[in-house]
Amino acid sequence: MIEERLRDAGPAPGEDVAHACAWELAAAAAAERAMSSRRRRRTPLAMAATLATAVIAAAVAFTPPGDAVADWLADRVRDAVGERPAPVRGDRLPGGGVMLAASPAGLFAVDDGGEPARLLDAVDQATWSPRALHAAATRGVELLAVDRRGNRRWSLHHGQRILHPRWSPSGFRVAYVSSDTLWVVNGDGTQDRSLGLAGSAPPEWRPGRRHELAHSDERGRVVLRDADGGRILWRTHARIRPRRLAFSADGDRLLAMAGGKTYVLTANGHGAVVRHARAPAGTRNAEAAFAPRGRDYAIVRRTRAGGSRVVLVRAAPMPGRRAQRAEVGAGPDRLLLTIPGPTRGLAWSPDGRWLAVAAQRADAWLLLRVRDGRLTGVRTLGRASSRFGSGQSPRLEGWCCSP
Amino acid sequence: MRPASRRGGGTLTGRRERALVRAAQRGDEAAVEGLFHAYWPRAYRAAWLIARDEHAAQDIAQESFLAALAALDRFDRARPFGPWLRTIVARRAIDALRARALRREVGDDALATAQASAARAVAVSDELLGAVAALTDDQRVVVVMRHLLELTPGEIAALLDLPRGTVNSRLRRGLDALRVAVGEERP
Repeated sequence: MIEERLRDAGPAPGEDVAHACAWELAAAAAAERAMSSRRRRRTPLAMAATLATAVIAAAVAFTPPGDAVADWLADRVRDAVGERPAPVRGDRLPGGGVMLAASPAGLFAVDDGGEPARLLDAVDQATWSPRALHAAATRGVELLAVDRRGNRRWSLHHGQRILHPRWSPSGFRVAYVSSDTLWVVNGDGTQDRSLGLAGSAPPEWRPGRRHELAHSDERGRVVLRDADGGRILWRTHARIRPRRLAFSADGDRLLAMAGGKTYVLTANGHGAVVRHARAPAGTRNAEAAFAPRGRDYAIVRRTRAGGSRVVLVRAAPMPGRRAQRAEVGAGPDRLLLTIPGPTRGLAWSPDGRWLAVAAQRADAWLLLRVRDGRLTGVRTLGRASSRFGSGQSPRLEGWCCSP
Repeated sequence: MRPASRRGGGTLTGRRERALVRAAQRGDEAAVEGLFHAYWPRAYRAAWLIARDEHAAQDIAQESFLAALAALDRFDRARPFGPWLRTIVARRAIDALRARALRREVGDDALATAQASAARAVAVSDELLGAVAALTDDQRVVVVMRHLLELTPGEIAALLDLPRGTVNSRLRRGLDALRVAVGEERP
């Protein structure tokens, strides 16, 4: 009878992919429950324990917090790509270049097999100069620049906290936000000047152009501005209220990421919206980064369950157009990995083959090898909180540079 | 009390389901996996047929299962787990359907239209599922709720805010249309 056949009808379109994605999250939730359950069972045991057992229980209690999560994550990676993540070793960082980490313990450059070199003591946020010869970092009301040996080059102060430093591709300008105002200073620390009111999104420099700066304004509109003359080149009518801005590698597209939506704007002309997409129900956009080549971008979405989905959004030719270049966001979303807990930074390697994600709960930086839009391997910089000496998982602030 | 789900991604007797729920409540990951593989597939198929969108279906099925998992500690083991989960799926799928209908923004309307068109154009490998997908909205939603999610006509009427008689007539017309579509004789 048809009623009975209906119960077993299937599969539905997209079911296989959806099944894999859903199981990632369900398994994470199950692991959370299992860990919570084990902690509840251990507590009564420790209270009733002999001295030897108490020592063991204490050792368990003081086990680095990320280990259980990292172990679970390693199993998930093995399920996805056929092998557990390998630690970063050797003389060269996978993908090349040098990474930048900011934590309460300091500012660190990471290359040469993942060993960090301290540049400064505690900082809030940081940015590389275009060839990673210098870094600019904020420390409360101070903005300072240092070289790779940690020598201070210049600094300036404001009355309010300084946020979101960004070094221009030319190397001659540094943008930042303070007192809800957008500021630009020369790369040598001179001629600090304000450009106008700023919104909450960190400003971003346009690649391959001299000193064009995208930012959000006090009304949540996206603005492209000539940072030298101050002139507004275009401004959206819509109040997008982006949390992040990112330019495509060719500088022609600007991604404006709000919590519930992403907008792709054309950076030329008037900043028209080319595409927009809503984040899947139950998720919020958290971080985004364009690949250094092509027009794919990675995005991290937080789920209600507290995890993070690292998704690759592919470019693809738009139907019905004779476009020679693939359009941003026109292709499928590809879930690369689901991570328990939040992330603290997202950055592509200079060669575009690796995507680094700072996984806070796993206390590790995950380097995802991406090939043809798919996850093919994972390397790790584990125990990040102790590696960087802060007891707190550091923030990944950037990954520079092509030789 | 309705019996535990007999079909879906797998077959679970009432006894087996209760054992899995007990174990899952104690933190047994394998038990969670058993529940997932038993119930998630039909939840996804139902969500897809109602929402007519793969992304929405993925979110509905996934979030419903996670919500059920999060509420497991409060779950009354005397109740069957499968129907409880499917009720969550039904509510969320209806919400998604209503949200799309109420959307006002320019561009989002175009997206919704494009997604609906894409859903209709997608090739469905299963003939019967494809026939259900081709039903009118009114018939499809009640057929899916009754025969995939196994809700009673009374529960469907409450969810959709319809008279029970309307639900029954839509069910009859929907099943008749399906029989014609797949060439099945009326019993």
